[in-house]
Amino acid sequence: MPASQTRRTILLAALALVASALLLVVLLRAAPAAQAAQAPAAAAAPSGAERWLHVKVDSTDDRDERVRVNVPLSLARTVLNSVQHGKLDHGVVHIDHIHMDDVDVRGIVKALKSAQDGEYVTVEKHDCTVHVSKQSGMLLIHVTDHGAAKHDRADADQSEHPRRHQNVDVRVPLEVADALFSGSSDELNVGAALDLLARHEKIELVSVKDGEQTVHIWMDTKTTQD
Amino acid sequence: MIGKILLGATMATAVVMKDGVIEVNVQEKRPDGSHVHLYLPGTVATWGVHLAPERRIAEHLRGKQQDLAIAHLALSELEKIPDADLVQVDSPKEHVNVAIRNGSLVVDVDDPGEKVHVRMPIRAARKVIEDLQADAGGPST
Repeated sequence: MPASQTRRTILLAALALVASALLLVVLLRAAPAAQAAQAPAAAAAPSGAERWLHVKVDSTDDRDERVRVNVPLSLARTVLNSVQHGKLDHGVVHIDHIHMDDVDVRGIVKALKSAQDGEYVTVEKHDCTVHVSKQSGMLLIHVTDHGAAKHDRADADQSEHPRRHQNVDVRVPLEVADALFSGSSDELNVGAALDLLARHEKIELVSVKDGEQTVHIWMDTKTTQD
Repeated sequence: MIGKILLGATMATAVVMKDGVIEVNVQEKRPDGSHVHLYLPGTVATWGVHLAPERRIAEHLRGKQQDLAIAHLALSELEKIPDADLVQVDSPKEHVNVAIRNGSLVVDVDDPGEKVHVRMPIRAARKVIEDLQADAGGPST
């Protein structure tokens, strides 16, 4: 092998070694930093930990479907607050026609904020019961629908698919509900509501149960639903 | 010779380590169905944006600055979160899973027609969006 070629080979080998050493140094330095960055997240105090919104849907009907959604609240807030499309404008949802049986929801929420704990609204109909109460700063809504129709099967014979019993429980911190209705009468300030929701560490939000489906929505600091 | 191989291997490792690896695996379930399985360094995605004609990209992205900005924000947030299953849908016929694994967005779909597995390093995706934002006339936010 000529001397010049030998020198070139040695030079290349040396270069490769230096590059490998540099890469190793970078990787070795990066590894503890990455571990250190992950460790506080795992052991962080609950108040500083990321909040995760969880949705769990279980269907026992013929679809036999199971849906699990876990979303970091920061992601939901960031995306929601930056979108301006259609009825969504930077965290505010515009609603053209909102009819809630002429119930002044904003007024009720405002009144409940300063009221003592207790049950404030009870609506009883032949097929439906609604209870609205306040407990430790939480707005609690319980709906029992004794005859929820299967709207998704309009063609089905009602006698074949009898009406089913449905329970809906909603738990919302009053300040969150207040923030949600803080805009004008034709809008919902979802962004502000999520900002305030993030101050809570763990909270059960919605539970829907009927004969064929259960829906559960909650927020905590865990990435999983276990 | 050994030096060249070592140098090549080092450079290849550096390229792969920089932006991770994109994996695409699509397997059709019919008897004569195709099977595509690709591994690409994440850096290739950003090269692709640089290689495409700038004017064409700008034309396609006209008025999409806000969408790109939202995608960039979402990816930046996803980059911060640890490994997690984001979406899981299970039914007798279909299985869908969207997850974060080691800084990559992993999508698995298994239905009667095909089985799909896609792994995209979030960092590489964010860089692609940044390049597209620059081509589209700069970030809007």
